[in-house]
Amino acid sequence: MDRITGIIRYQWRAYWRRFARARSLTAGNQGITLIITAVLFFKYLGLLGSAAAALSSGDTKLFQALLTAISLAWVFLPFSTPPSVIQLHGLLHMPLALKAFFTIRIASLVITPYSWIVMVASLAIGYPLAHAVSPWAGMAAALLLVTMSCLIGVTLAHLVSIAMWRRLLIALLLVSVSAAFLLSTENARLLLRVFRFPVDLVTTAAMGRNLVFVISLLLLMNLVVVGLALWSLRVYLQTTPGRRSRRRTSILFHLPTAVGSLAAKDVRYFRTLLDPYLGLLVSALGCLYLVTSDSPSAAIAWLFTIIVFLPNSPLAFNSFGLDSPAALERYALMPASGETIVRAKNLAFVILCTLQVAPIILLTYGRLGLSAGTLGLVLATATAAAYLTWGNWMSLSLPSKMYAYRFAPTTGTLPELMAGVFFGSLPGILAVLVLRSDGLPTMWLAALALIPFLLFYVVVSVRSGRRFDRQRERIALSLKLR
Amino acid sequence: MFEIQTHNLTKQFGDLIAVQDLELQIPKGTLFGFLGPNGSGKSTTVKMLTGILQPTRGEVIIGGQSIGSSPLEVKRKIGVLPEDLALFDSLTIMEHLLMAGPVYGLTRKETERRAEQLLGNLDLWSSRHTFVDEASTGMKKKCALAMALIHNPEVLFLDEPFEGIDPVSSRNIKDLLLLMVGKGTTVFLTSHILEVVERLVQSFAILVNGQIVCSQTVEETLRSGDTLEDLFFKHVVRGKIEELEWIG
Repeated sequence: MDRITGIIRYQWRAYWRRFARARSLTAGNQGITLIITAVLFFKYLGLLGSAAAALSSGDTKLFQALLTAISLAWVFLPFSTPPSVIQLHGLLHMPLALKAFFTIRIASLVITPYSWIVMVASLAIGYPLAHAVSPWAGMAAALLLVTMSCLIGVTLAHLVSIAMWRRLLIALLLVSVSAAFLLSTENARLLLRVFRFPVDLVTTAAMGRNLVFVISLLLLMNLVVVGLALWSLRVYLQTTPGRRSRRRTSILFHLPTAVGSLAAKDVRYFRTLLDPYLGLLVSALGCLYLVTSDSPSAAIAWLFTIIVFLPNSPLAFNSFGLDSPAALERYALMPASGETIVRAKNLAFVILCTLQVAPIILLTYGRLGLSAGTLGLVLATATAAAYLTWGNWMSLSLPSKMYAYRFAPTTGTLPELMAGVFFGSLPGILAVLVLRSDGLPTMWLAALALIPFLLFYVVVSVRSGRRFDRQRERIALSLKLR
Repeated sequence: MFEIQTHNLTKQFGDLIAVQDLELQIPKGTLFGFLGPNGSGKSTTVKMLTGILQPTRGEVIIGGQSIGSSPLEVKRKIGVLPEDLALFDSLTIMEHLLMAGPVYGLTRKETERRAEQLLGNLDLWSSRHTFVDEASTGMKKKCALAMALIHNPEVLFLDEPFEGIDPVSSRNIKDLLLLMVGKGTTVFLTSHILEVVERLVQSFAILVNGQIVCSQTVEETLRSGDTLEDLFFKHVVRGKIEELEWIG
């Protein structure tokens, strides 16, 4: 046990040393986490009071919603923990059993400040539970739910790091969402209940019904999940160090010019983030809407087009986040200007967003005609240009480390992020104005709306290229710190 | 005409002077060895010569052009095997070369042709689809070397090229370097393996504490009856190893 405690203690020290070395709240996601936490905390406190009052009168809806949020926060906790907190593969040469690795893995989750926030929020759920019919049973069930959610998160985080399992999980997610969309309302509700079943069990325990059965069932579910987590850890430890071999080179490496070849590399990097897969999900939903709706609306189709860009925003706002300091050194060795490197990153963003937006636009053309389709295309182009204009500035000013197979951390501070999202949404606002105008031909207005965004983009990308040449070492240092 | 020239090249990190007033003049078609103990400033010098690091003062001229005023023009002429290899995670060895070729202005077809030949010579062809983050140290080094060579550079900078390389590949690299030098390429290499340097290079310099303490040709060294190792330890003080009574 001493060995494990020693490892965790030194990893703890190393993490906090890296954290302190940043010396700025804008580094990583510290500033934004602090602000959002404070805002959400006060909101959460208010909701806890309401949930307690509702629960004492037998209304469980709000309590269940809060419990679902807590459960999801625990599922996502392992995804938000940077792998650098504890690098398990670095410990493989030590005489440690699987159980020891498992203990270290679980302990690594509580090193980051985000986990403390989740823990405090989880403890606070005890307040409404204290007003339930059976508070102690409710708290025991809630504790079992939290443990289970955390272990599910750990299992998923391990499996997502393995190529075969990653594909399988993405397919499963897309099938589930499509099924929920395509099924009748009744069946969709049934599907949702399956996912909500553990939360329902906690509520049943809190209301003092079937106590023995509910607690036993939750215990059994926990045992199964512990087994799954241990199995996934073993697979994770065995799989990653092995050689994975590609049979052929990606077709993207056939792209001509320096920008094209560098963009091929960036596409490879960007698609390892989990965020673009949310964009894919939005795109799938948009397509389903356009295919299944009897009379689809152009406004809703455009809305889907704009929403696709939101989860992809880290690719534009923190485009160097997946590069290592060694990669930045390679950029310096190449006869490529900063502008070429920035444009390559932008091209990679455009390629990935095009793959997600193109099906919606094509279906808009098919179902809503030439005019709506073209406006959708203009809107997508203008939105991409707006995101990249703001993103190029933010990528160079506030770079922070991102990790493959994790969600991207928010970067910068709240005002910059809000301004970025607002600027990126400007084309959407203009589209609404275009819709309302009757006097001028719509196409002309759309084209006019596109020009300033493209101009902004051209000017900013040239300036960003020069800034990259000057600030490459500072960016490398920022990426090294976390 | 010197292919590599430096004047008063100095790099200072805070109070630490890593490299001080370095004067180098290396003619075209020379295989030049740059020697020195760990922390003597070799890699810092290579970084300044290749444009990765801005010197605190002084100038670097490569092929008649200043790297300070014409960085892209100089970078097109040079090939670099850097100390930390500067490779991209999640790309295969082949993809590294396919990415590098067009950046140096090569066509896709020419890049593929050269990549095939280089990887064959470096015994990497069968591993071409291996991701570099999962490749061995030697494979990574050979991948970085192939990237340095693919555009047929006029000047080649190699930081510890033989470290972690197997004997067969090591011999292939030496033959390749001699072939390149024979065709007029200038090679600037740093190495700790003094026997290899002695047999390979034409001239060398020894750097200690950021300053050149000795600069001559191998021929001059051998003529004086010394080996390169003798000369090296004349200039580099060796610390006494403490007694480790608990070992064994």
